[in-house]
Amino acid sequence: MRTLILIICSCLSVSCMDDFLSVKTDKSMIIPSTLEDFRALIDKADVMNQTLPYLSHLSSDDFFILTNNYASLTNILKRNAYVWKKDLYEGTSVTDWNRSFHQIFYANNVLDGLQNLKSEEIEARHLEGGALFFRAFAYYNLSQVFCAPYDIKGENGGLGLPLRLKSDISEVVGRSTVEDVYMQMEKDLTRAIVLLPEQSTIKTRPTQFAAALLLARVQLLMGNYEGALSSSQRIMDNFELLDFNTLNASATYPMGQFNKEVLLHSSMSYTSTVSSTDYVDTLLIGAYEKDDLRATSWFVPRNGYHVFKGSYTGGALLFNGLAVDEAYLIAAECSARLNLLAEAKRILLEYLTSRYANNVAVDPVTGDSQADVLRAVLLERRKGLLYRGIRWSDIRRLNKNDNAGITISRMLEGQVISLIPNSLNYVLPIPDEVIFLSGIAQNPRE
Amino acid sequence: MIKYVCLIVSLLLTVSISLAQKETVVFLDIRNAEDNSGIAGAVIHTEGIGNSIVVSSTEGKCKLVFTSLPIRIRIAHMAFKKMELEITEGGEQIVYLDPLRRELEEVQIHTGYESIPRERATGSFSSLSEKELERRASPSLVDRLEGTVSGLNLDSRLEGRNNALIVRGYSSIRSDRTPLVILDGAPYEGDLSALDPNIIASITVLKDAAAASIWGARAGNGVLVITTKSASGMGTQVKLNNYLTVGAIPNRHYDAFLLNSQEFIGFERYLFDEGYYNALKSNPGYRSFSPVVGLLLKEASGDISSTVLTEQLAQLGQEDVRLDLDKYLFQNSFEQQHSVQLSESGEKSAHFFSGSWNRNRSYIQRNADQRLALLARSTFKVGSWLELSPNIQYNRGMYRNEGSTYRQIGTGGLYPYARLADGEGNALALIDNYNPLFLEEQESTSRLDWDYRPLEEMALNQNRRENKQLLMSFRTQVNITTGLNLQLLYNYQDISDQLNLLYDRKSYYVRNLRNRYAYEENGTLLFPIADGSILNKEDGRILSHLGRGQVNFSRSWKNSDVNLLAGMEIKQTVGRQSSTMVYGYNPETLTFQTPDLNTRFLTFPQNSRASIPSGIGFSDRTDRFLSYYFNGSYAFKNRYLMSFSARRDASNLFGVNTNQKAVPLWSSGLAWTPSAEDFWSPDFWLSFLKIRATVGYSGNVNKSLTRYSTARYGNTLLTGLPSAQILTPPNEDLRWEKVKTANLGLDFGIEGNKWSGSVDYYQKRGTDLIGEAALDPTTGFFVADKFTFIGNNSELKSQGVDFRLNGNFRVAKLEWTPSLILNWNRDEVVRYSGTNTLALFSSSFSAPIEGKPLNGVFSFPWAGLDPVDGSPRFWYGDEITRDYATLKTNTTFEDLTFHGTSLPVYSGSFFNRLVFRPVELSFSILYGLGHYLRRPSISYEDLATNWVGHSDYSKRWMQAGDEQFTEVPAMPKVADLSLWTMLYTNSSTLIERADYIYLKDIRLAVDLMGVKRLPGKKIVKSADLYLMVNNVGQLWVANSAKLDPLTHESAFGRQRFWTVGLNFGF
Repeated sequence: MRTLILIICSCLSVSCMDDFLSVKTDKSMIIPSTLEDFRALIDKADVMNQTLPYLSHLSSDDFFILTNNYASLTNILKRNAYVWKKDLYEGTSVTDWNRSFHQIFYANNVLDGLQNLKSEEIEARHLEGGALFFRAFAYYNLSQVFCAPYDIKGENGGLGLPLRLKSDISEVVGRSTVEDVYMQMEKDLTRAIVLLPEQSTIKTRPTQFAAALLLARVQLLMGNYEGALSSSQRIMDNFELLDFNTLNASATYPMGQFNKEVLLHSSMSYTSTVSSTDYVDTLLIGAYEKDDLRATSWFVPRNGYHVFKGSYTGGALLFNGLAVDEAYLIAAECSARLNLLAEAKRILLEYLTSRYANNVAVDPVTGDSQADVLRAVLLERRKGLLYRGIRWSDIRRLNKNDNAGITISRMLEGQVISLIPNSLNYVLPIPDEVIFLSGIAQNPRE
Repeated sequence: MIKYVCLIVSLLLTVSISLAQKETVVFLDIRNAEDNSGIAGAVIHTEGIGNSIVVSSTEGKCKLVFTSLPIRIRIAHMAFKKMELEITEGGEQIVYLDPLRRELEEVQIHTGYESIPRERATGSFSSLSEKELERRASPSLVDRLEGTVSGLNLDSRLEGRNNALIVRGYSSIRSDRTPLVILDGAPYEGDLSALDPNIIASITVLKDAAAASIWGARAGNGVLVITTKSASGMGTQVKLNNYLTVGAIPNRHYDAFLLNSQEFIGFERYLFDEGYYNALKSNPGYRSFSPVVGLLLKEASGDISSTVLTEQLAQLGQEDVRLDLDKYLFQNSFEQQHSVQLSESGEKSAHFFSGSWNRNRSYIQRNADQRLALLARSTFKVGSWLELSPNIQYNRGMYRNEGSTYRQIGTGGLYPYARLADGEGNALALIDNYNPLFLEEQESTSRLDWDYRPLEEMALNQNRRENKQLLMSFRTQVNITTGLNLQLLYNYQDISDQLNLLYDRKSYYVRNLRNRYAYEENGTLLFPIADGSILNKEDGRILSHLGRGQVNFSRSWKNSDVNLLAGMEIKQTVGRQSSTMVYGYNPETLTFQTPDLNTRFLTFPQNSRASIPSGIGFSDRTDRFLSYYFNGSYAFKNRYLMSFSARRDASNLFGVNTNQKAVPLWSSGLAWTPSAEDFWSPDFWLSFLKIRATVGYSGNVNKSLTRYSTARYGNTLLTGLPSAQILTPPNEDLRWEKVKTANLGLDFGIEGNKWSGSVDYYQKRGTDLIGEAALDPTTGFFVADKFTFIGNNSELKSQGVDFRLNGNFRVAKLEWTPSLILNWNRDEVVRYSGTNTLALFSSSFSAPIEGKPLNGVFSFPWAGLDPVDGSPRFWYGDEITRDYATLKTNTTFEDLTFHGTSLPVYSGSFFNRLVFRPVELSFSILYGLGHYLRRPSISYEDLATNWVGHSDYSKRWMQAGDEQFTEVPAMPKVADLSLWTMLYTNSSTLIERADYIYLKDIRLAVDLMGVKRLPGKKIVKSADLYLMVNNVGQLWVANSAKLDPLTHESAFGRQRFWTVGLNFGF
């Protein structure tokens, strides 16, 4: 008997049992801890590069919906965002908010993991830069919808966003100020530019040029025109524009996926197909010159109106990534604002040359004053960057800082609904469930 | 053993007496009056001749020798009524004994580790004997169990599924809620439906902690201990069981969900006029819409005239798809089963073999299955110190699932004017993925025929599943000294499941896939998927090893009995799955062609890039458990009882250090039998009384969670690069779920066990339950758009009563044994935060809310229809509102009406058996009381999007004044479609009481041995013929709509079965 007990006990010696219980339950599950794992997180394109915010586009005046088509809309968010309704969400889930913070969560997981790993490899630098870039990108998208526009001359102490810089989900973070959000973006992007590689064959991975262009966007919003000019200059020095004469304008989606101008591929969770009932603003359509190839390749006539098919995703999904053309338009605007008028005209003309038939562009500037140049630059910006969510940011900043007085209107059932400049409704409400669960302050609406 | 000794001694005695005097020999055949089986161990006292005692053999036979006649004898057995009779002549004589109460039939409680007599238990058990299990002839064990065990219920909302068993209400919220199944001492990893009910000797349900804690961390949901048959009696026995069951074509409940064609066309025209389809007018796209919408669009665009439209609509209005469904989809089901059982036992060895074969034709045409179940078991005794029992069991099931129910016919739904076949029975096309206009356009292209013909599809494709189970165990018992032994058990389970789906090259499945990937190059259409069938194979395998060593000690002193056992158990279960897809397959020549799986083709007409699905997938998971356990009981004077058990489980589940993986669980109990006390008069009307109390902990695991942040690798569609998705956030505090149970029980017998039964009151509290807590989306963590954090953050409490009363009456030759089961269970969610208001309505299973039952039924307070336009109105606070958007957004739990629970508060059964030899009639009635159901009604949104209607459509508000007679809203404007639907279908006007009384079955059996002049009586030992109807129908339902609460949500009622069966014993 005694020997028997001994045998059993020796079988169960603690060391062998530790091994027995330390086997992994599910082979396909991993605990992200290596550089390959972090790379796989950064390369999770459906989180980092797809299904991203689109409320800024829905709120903008790039398009309009006819009354009878509006009546058959079933998407509550679209119905309400289109008319800037006070209660926007009616309990639906707000992907603009959720997806952006999801991006931030992935980025923070990589950043925290890298901190534990302490790798000296160049790949670790690239990954850190990539994570910082995506975090800044997410905050950029959020700030354009859920924060007041940046006041160049003012204080910017208003309600910002919860700045989540750690992956720990139990951490409670309140809303920062608007200033803090912009400072964080600037800081992350400045660091990302140092860390990121110059090139990537894969257009969903950020490069230092993509980071530079995003930084230029942020600097433009903050009124740092010198900074924005030098950031966008770097891109113009290194990349060429796409010659629209080489495009097949009759193709379903002529721009093609990952085209030459794309610095970082990213798309909204919103589409514009040929059967879309979102029509391009008629005044905007009228602003394109006869030889402007953008007009012929980007729009397709439908029921007397025009549908947009010029997305840089090369498909129906709307592009909200970063592309070389935007660098030209930022550089031109900053030059104009810094009173470098000749430089502004030169950049603008270089940009337009690639857009016109046979590369013969019409000089859009009609006058010599700074205001004339700026007006021309802004119009080209509007014509060149439509359906990318940028227009909404532009209306906000131009009304706020330039007193541009842009009023956007919707016409439904013969009624005109308008959004007057600097209305509280330029800042969208925080999702109800977030307010309920976290108790952070709601944005006022009217 | 003692029995045999007595027998031998008494035989010797009688022999010695017989030498002395002239004697008369009497052969007694002592039988159970209930089932005619022989009673072993009956003690026969003969008056006058001192203490002469004879004990009957295992077959109930005994030989008595008397010197003088007549003489009085007394026959006694603890499970039967005592009998006195006078012997007047020699020869053979049959004596029937009446059983005392059925539960006392030598009831042994099997905990899976040991078998103990009921008298020695402190815990709460229910058990089911072989006879009770055999009564309801059904291939499904779960069906046989329904309403037969107190404390064991079926969740009727999970109709027909094997996970529907609940022991004493649910104990867990998000984890596995099914009871643990122990098959012959080892946890069973397979599906209950794969087990052959014929080989089961008994089922014991362990309900409280005393019993369950011995199964530790997996016992929180209760334990079902299944013991299979082994050799019984002496000598050779053969049993044959056969039955044939015919099932009715299921009730056409779906009638309610299919509008008649004219009504539906009317609705589609209404939607069309309201502009619902406006977006399609200029570009119909490819997405599915119905043929009527297609015609309306054509008329709008001028392609057809309004006369043609009217004509065609009138023609469609004449169709009725239900006739086709009856003809081509359903049929009577048949089921036949034959089983044979051989048993042979001797002094040194015993052997048992069982084989059964089942053939089943489903009520769905083209669905059938076959099942073979074999069992062989032996026990060898080596000397008096060693016992070896090998056991091998093999089950094989073959399933053919090529038919469809009406819901599976179209992916989008089935419209009422669809036709499955023309007059000659040729398959006709239906709208499925693509709309009729798109399909018409495709006819002129070089793409393959794109029509979906469901009947042809069913005939062309093969869907076969094969399930094989090999279960083996080897048990060794070493008897060390008296009362001390060592048991070793090795158990091996190999369960495999193979699914073969063969899509014929002509099938829609193949044509559709080929068309979708076809692309144009230089004016010709290229098909990257080659012509040929597509074979999809899925293989799953579970391999489990279990080893157990256990020391048992039991000894009796003068007044004391001690029982101890201690052991350890080690177990590994590996589950692997793999799947493959073979393209261009030719089943005749076994050739195939691998397509280009890397290129991302532009699919048509979706216009998105995708690669051809490889269908290749693997999964591999390993679960390991290591447990130590102890169980001890002490009885004093057989009336005071104390028990204690403890167990420590560790597992690899959470991926943490060993200390945190383990969980200690324990229980203890006390029992007292006052009726065994000296002061208890044997003539007291309460002839038996036992009081029991236990308290303890058991646990539950959730295999899907880990402590670290985990991710799963996949590929990004956009780039094709490997990518990782974060599945769980880190969770430092993850632990096992714990269920604390306290049980107070009473067993009683009244007037010599004319009445007997038990009452148990219990309280359960589940703490550290895995649950969802709502998570602020700002944290950034979510999977599949669910913003919840899953962790040990929930609590659930429940209390209840299990009551069972058995009667046993005899009036002349008529015997009546009624049995009543009453279960009361009430639960309440103590802690849970993961439910938001809208989630309450997203499924028919409501979500947990703090302070309410786990399965609470909530509704929007209904304020009737608006007399002006028939729109629904609701109470919001003290006001009547029609502001639907606000109602949907702002409603909180407090604003909703709470009705009760969707599971019965009171449930149970009433069983009756009437015996008038040789005929026996029995029936069982099930009931459920005190719960609520949500009555289905017209959902305008479903009707518009997937054509699911409801007969309430014709009761809708149509003109002012209708609101006096109906609560069904008028047809909504397009903008209100989804809000009206959501609010109305969840409104209080549709909540009904769900109480019911259900006649489950009626069974009539004839004991053929009792029938005089039956040929062949000499060769058979027993023969029974029975007829049975199963699922007879509702006797009473509380709701005014006369809905069957057991099936109100399903498209079919419970199928009714008629069975005829014949059992023989040799």
